[in-house]
Amino acid sequence: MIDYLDRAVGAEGAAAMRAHLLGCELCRKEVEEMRELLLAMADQELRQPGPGLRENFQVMLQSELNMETTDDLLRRARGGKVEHVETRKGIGWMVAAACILLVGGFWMGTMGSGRKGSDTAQQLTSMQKEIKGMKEVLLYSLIDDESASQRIKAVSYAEAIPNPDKKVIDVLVNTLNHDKSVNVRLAALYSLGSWSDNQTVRDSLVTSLTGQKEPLIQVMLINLLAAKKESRAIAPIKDILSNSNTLPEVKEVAQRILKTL
Amino acid sequence: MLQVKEGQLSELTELFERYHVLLYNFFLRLTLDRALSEDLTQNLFYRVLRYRQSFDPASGSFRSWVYRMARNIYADHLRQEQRVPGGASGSEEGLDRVAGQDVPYTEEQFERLDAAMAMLSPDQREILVLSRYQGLKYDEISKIKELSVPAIKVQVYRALRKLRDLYFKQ
Repeated sequence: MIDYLDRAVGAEGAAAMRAHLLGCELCRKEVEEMRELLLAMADQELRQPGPGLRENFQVMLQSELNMETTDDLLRRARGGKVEHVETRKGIGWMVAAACILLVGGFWMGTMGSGRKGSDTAQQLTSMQKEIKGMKEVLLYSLIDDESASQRIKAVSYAEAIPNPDKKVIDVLVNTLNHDKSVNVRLAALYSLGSWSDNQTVRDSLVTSLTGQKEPLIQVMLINLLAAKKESRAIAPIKDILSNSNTLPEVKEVAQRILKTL
Repeated sequence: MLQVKEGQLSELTELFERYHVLLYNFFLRLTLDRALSEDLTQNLFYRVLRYRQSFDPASGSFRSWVYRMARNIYADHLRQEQRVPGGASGSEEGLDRVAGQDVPYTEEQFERLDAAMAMLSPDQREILVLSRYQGLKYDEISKIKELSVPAIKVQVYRALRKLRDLYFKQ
C-alpha cells in the first residue's frame, strides 16, 4: 500500500489497487488516513542547527590539521622515527578526560533540570564548586612533577575547568612558555586553546608566540590565533616568517595563515 | 569522500556543507533535543575525520557509511542514557516550526505527528526517520541496517501502521 501511495507500483498494480478500493470501504479509509499521514511527514521541513555547529566543526578540523602538521614536523625533527605516541597519548588522555567530564556535566545538567526546585539547584552549584576546586588542587600539585606525563595529566585537569580564574590561566601560560618538555607545552596550549574566546587568554597567547622557538608550538599557536581571527597575531607571525631560523614548514603555515587574517 | 581519505582534509568542509543539516535533523527526529543533536552531529563529523581510512568505496556509498556511523553514535548515546537515571530522553523542547507557504496542515496536526513519533519504539522511529524523513531508498537502508530489502519494507510498513494508530487515536 505504501508503494501505491508513493506511486511506486506499476500501472497494472495501481489499476488493481483502485479497483479494490472502489469496493472496499475499510481499505479506502486506511488509504486516506495513510495518505494524510505520509503527506504530513513529507511536509515537515528540515530544521537548521545553530551557528555553533559550523564553528565547532571548523575548529575541530583546524586542530586535526595541526595534528597532521605536528606529526610531520615530529617525523622530520626526530629523523624518521615518529615519536607521536607521547603527544597523542597526552592529548588522547585529555580528550578522554574531557569526555568523561562532558558526560558528567551532562548528567549533572539533567539532574538539575529544575524539576525539584531550588534545593537541587543549590546542591548542584556547591557540587560543581567542589569539583572545580578539586581539579585546581590536582593541577597545582602535579604541575611541578618530575615526570612529563604527570605534568600533562595536570594540564588536562585544567582543561576541564569551565570558568578558569586568572591563577589557573597563569599557571598554564607559564607552562606553555617555560616547561622543559615540548609535549607538556603542547598540552598546555591545547587547554588554553579551549578558552581562546577569553581575550586575556588570547593576549597571553600572542605574547607567547613572540617567544616560541619550537616549530610544533609555533604552528599550533598560529593556527589557533588564526581560527579566532586574532589580528594582534599578525606582527609576531610576520616576524616568524622573516626569521632565518624558522623551519620551512612553519613558514609555509605562516604564509597561508597570513592570507586569512 | 575519497579525497578526504587521501588526505585532502579541506574536502571535508564540502561534505559538511552537503550533509550536516540532514544529519542534524536525523538526530533531532530521534532525540527531540536540539543541543544534543548538535553535539551528536559534531561527534559524527569528528569520527568521519578520524576513521576516514576505514571508508571503503567498494562496499557502499558515503551515505550508507555515514548513516551507519550516525546510528552507532545514537546507539552509544542511548546506552549512556541507560546508565544515568532520569536521563533526558523523551524530553521535548518545543521544536519550533519552519512554516512553509501554503501548508495544508495545521500546527495541531504537526504536533500530533511529533507526539505520535515520540511514542514509537526507538527502532520503529528510526526506520521511519531513515525512510520518510531522510529520504533514503530501501536499498540504501538495507546496506545501512544490513537487512534485506523486503525485511526493510515490512519494518517500514509495520512502523507506519503503528504510527497511524497513534496519530489517529489521539
